[in-house]
Amino acid sequence: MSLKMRRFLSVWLRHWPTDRWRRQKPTDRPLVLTAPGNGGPRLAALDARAASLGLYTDQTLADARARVPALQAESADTAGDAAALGRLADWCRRYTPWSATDGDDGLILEITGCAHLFDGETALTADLERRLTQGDVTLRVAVADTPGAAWAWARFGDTAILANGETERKLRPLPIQALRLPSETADGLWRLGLRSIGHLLELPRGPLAKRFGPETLQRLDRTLGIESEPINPRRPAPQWRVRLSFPDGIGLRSDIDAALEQLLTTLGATLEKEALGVRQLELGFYRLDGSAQFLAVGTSQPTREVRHLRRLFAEKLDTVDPGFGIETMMLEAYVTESLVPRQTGLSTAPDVDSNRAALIDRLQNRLGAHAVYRAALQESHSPERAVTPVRAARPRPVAPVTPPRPVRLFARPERIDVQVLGGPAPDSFRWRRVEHRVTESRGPERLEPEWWRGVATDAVRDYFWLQDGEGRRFWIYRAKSAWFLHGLFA
Amino acid sequence: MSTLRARQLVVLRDRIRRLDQPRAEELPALPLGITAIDEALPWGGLPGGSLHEIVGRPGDAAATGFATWLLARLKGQVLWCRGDGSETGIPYAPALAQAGLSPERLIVVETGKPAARLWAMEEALRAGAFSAVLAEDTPADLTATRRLQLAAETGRTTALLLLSQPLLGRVSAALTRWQVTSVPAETNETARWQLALARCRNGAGDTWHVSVGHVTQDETLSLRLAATLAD
Repeated sequence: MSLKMRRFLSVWLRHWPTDRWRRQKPTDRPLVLTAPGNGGPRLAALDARAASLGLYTDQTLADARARVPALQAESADTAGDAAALGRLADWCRRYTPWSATDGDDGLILEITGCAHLFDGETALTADLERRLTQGDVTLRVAVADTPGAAWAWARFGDTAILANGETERKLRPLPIQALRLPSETADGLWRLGLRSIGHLLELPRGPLAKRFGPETLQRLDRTLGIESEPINPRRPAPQWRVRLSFPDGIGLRSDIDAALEQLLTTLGATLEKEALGVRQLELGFYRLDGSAQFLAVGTSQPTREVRHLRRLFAEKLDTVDPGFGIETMMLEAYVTESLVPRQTGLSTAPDVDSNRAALIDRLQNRLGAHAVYRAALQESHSPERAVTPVRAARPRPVAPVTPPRPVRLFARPERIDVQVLGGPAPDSFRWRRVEHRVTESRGPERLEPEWWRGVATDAVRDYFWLQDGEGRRFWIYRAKSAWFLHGLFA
Repeated sequence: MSTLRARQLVVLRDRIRRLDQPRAEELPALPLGITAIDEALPWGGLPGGSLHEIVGRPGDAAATGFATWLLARLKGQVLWCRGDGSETGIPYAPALAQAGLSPERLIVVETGKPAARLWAMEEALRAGAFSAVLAEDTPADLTATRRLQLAAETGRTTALLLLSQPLLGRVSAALTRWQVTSVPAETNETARWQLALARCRNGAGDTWHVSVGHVTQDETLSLRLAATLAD
C-alpha cells in the first residue's frame, strides 16, 4: 500500500428532513415537505412511505395529493435541516474530532486511529447506528478507505464495512452515480452506455478527461484512493482530549461535577508531563438523544490548575441541559503553551498576582472578554481617543495628560441650549431640561481635530470649564455654532 | 431601652463580631488625613475589609471624585465595575490619573447588568486580589450588602458602592454612608465638596466642607477642611 492507511465513515441520512419533522410532531400518515415552485408547491422531501407510494421529488403537491389523498404535507425548512445536521456532526465528535457534514443528507467522519477506542470498526458502526436509530433517524453507514468510497458504499453497498484494500474490486460493479459526479456528467456517461464504475476504469484516461473534464478523473482517483481527499472538520482538531463515558447516562449536577474534576485531573497530569499549560478548553456534553452541547473557557495565562479551571467551568455548568442523560463528557484543549513549574521560593504568602489573573479569567468568561480591561492612556488631542482599552492582564506605560479633565465623560456628548451674553463662555445653559446659571467659567481650551484621521465631520472644539450656582462643575464645548456637554468635573 | 442597656448591646454585638471575624479587626483603618473627620470615625479612619457607600446626586461628579480620592490613597490594584454610563457618564481614566489613580492600578469591568456588577464585585472581594473594589449604581438591598460586607471581610478588601443618587428608604449593611455634593469652589481650588457622613456604625453623623487642592507628593489630591457649616 502506497498511502498510509486511513479510514472514513460515511453516514447517509436518507430521509433527514422528514425524520426531523417527525421527531418533533409524530404522525402515522405518509409525510412530504414542500417548497414553493413552478405551478404551486412542489415536493422537496419525502419519507419512506411517501416514496414507496410512487411519489417523487419535485412533483407538484396537487398531483401528489391526487394520488395519495391521505398525504400529510408540511413546509420544508432547509435552513433548519442544515443547522440540525451540523449539530449532529458536532455530536459525532464523541467518536472523532474530524467530523463534518457531507452534502445536505450526510456526515463524514475520519476514524483513522479512533476505532480501537470503540472495540473496532464494526462495534463503532453498530454503536452509531443504534444511537441514531433510537432517535428515529433513518440511516445507512459505511466505512471505507476514502471519503468517496465510504459515501458510495453507504448508498450503494450491501454491508457496513468495506475492508481495507478492497475498494477498487468492490466498487467496480457500482453504478456511476456512486462517484458523486455532477448530474450532467453522470447523464452523459449513462447515455454512452457507461453504466458502472468498472466501465469507466476500462477506458483510456486521456480521452475520458477530454470528453468529461479533469474533475471526472479526479473524482474517480479520489474515490479509489489514488489521490487523497481532505475533509474539512467543523472545528479545528484539539491538541489534547480526554473523555469519560456513562453507559446509562448522567444528569445530576453532582455527577457532572465529579466527572469534570476527573477529566481536569487526567488532562492536568498529561499536561504536566509535557510541561504545558492550557489557554483554551472546550467541554463537550454528548447526550443520549444524539445532540451535543459545548462550553468553552479561555485563560489569560497558560494553566493546568484543576481548581482554577473547574471554577471557570462551574459558572457555566448551569446552562447545561442534560436532556434524557449525558452519555459522554469530553474535554479538549485547543491552545496549549509551555508552562514550566514556577519556583515557589521561601515565601509562603499567597500569590496575589496569580490570584488576580485567575479572577480576571473568571470575570471574562462570565461577562465576555471585552468587559474586563485596563484603560490605557495614549497621546491624543481628542478626549475620546485619549483612552484605549487594553488586555487586563498586561499593564502598560502611561502617557501624561496636562490640563484638568472631567472625572466622568459622556460617550456621546449631549446637545445643550446656551445663552451667551458677554462671551466667550455661556452665562447659562439648559441640559436635560434643567437650567444652570453659570457663576464661574474657565477657558476656552482649543482641541483641534486630528487631521490625519481624515474625518471631515470633526470640527475644532473650544472647551470650557463651568461652575453653576450649586457648585456643579461641567465640561462643555462649542463646535461650529452648536454647544455640547461632554463631562462632569468632581 | 435605657442608654446603659443599649451600650451593653453594642459591646456584646461587637464581641460577637470579633469572635466571628477575628481577622477583620486586625486590618488597619485608612486615615483620611483630616483630623475632624478621622475623629468622627470610631475606627480613626475608613476601616479596611468592609463595605462603604458613597452617594451623589444627578449631574454632579463629586461623589466619583471622593471615591477616586479614597482609592488613590488606598494604593494597590483597584477593580472598578461600571455600567454603560449613558445616564451618568463613564469614569474617565485621564481624570482618574490626575486624581492619583493611575491606569496601571485600575482594572475596569463593564457590564450593563447591575446583577452582573454585583456578582463581579462579590467575587473580586472574596478573591482578595485587589486592595479595593468599587461598583457603580448597583442597587444592593440589605441581603446583598450583607453578602458584600462578608466578602469584603473574607478577602480583606475595601468595598465601595458608588450611587449616583440617593435611594429613599434603602436599608444597608454598609459600615458608613457618605453623601457627597459639589459646592461652589474658590478660584484657587480644584473643587469643593460637602461631605456628609449620613450613616456610621457605632458613630454619629456629621457634615464637613472640604477644599480640593492639587496633587501632592504622595500622588493624591490634597484635601483640607474648608469651612464649618451653618456659622
